[in-house]
Amino acid sequence: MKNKIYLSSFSAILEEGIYDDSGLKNWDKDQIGPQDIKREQVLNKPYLNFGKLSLADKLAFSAASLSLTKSDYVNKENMGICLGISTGSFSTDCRYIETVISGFPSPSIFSATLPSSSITDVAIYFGIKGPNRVCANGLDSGITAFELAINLIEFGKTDSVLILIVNSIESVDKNIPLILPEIPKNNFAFSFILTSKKPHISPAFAIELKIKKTNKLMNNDNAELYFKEFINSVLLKKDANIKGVWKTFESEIILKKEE
Amino acid sequence: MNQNNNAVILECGEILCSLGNLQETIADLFEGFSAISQDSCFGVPVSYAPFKKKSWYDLKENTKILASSIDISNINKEETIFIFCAAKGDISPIEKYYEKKEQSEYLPLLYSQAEYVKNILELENCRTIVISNACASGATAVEVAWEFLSSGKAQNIIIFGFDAISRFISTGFYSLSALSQTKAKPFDANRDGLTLGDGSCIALLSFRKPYSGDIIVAGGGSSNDANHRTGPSRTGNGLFRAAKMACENANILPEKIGAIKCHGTATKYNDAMEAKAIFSLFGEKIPPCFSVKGAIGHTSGAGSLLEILIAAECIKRRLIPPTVGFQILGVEENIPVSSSSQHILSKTVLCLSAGFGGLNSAVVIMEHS
Amino acid sequence: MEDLILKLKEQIIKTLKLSDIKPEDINTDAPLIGSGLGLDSIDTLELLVLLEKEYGITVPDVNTGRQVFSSVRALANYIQQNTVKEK
Repeated sequence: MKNKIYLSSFSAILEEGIYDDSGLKNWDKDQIGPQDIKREQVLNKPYLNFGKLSLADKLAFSAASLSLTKSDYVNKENMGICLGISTGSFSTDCRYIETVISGFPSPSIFSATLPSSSITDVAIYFGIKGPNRVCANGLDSGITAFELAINLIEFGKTDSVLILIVNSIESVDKNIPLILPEIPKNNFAFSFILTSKKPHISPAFAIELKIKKTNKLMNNDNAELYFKEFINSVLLKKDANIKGVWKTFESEIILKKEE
Repeated sequence: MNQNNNAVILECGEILCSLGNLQETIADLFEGFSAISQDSCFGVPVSYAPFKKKSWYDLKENTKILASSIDISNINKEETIFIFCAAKGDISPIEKYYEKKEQSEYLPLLYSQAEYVKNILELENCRTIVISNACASGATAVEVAWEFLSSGKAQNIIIFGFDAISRFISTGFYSLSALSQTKAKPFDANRDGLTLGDGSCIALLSFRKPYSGDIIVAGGGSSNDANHRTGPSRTGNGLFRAAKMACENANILPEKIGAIKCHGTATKYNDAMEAKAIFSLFGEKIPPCFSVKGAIGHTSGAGSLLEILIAAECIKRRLIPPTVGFQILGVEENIPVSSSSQHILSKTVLCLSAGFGGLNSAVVIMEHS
Repeated sequence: MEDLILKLKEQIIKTLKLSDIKPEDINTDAPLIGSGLGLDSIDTLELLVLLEKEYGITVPDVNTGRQVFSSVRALANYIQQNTVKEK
């Protein structure tokens, strides 16, 4: 008998602004989009390392911070993190190569070239010590991370997971030929905290995920719109079945309210 | 094993590294040979363990060799998932693009390499997952495979790993002061850092009733140190928790473990941390331990799967190899690091790996009687 | 000396991309690594790169490194002691 899985909190950082359980806050006048996110919008105390973070790492940290501070879940020691990032950052790779060419390879930029670096600051700052999964398989990385998170809870390896879904793209990335059919052209980040303990919010949402293999190649849905539909249902306090089509499989996230 | 007595089986696997393929590598490991050469590593003044053949740096060539070593003609591709694991994979497209503005057949991004490899393996319509958990990528891919197979979400999983050294990688590790000025000496009192090594591997896993002699992936566990961007925690608590979770997931008591395939990178901090983690789990009764990184170098993300395949061969032989590079124990805890080939009494091995950012992954493999 | 100390504080903030902090917030005599400014070993390595690039100084060993980065004042002293008299 599987335990139920609940949504403990969520956040999103999108073109139009920042979402959390109180709804949407639009960007300030001096901000164009997620790439301009400020520390004070996601964390209410100074954080020296915020400026060091690459864009991908900053978006992941920001989304994580927004939902962690809202979640009533306390045991972060055993919380897992599942990161779904479209790809490692080509622009960070180039930035690193430039330091090599200059004769002074940069250790901090090198460590930021790993796709897994987006988990690191989150884990250190918030003390999150459970299992980790980093998926970097293009457009379906987010739904994959979601599924891996559910697997972790179903197998009892943890009772909570922070899911981070990030797409970061900078000007250098936009110049890579042939890349863009797979990668969305705008920056976004989502975070969801799933737990097996029913949270003290009303209504609480129970989550179920169904994956169906299709074994034929299809066009991916837009991951940003997919997860935005999820968030909108939660904000509107409505049950929902969020269906998505990915390259070789279909997904359905089922949201059911429990008072 | 579940109530149907099915288990996750490691059907077959192959590796390519500085000592050659799996059988060549095993033979040389038991002879105590090291492939670490004294050449400069892509311009950085340190030794490393390059692919035995230069042609193996070519991803297409490498994939074809690995593909030909395993038989996937009888598997149901509709029920197969493909997992590509790497820390950085094949960097050459970035270097080519950046320096000469030339394009390669695939992009300098892991998902593109995964698609490229998948097509050579004729798995075009299979779902692809790219796992990139730094140096623990391969072991994490095995954990993920275990979860999918045990829950019936796939019948077969093919895992492919590739991490090749380049100037990008060698200068990066050098800038972190992580590299040995001589050669990697795992757990040794005079160890001074890791030595990089090239590695690629492929493995086929399935979920079925095991037969005598089958190698089972009994379980896995992972954790995060939450300590530092690249260095491990000083207490070993993270790796201890991953190893404990792996044993619990596998339904195995630590005292039943026959040997430990260590991460053993030969950096001052990793080996000290790992020794603490091992002691925390086993106390005074620690089974024989070995590390292969003094022989084939640190083969990064692909490496943690490559080393699991080596550990499987050790189980079949009931022997673990000597830890090349190790002479005098240089950690606080009394870890029984192998200095010659040793018999293992039980056919169960705990495989440990730890990656940058404190990502720990442990897998338990065993032979079915 | 005071000019060098201020310049170092600005360079530390710029090189390490520290946010939420101005030069005047850095205590000249507080530790840089671990406590005080709370830098980690990768930041230390970046500061070693800074010393080489901007001041042409290579720190010979880890122990000297620990001393050098024990505070901004210690760093400034080290630079002054190791800078060749110019032109």
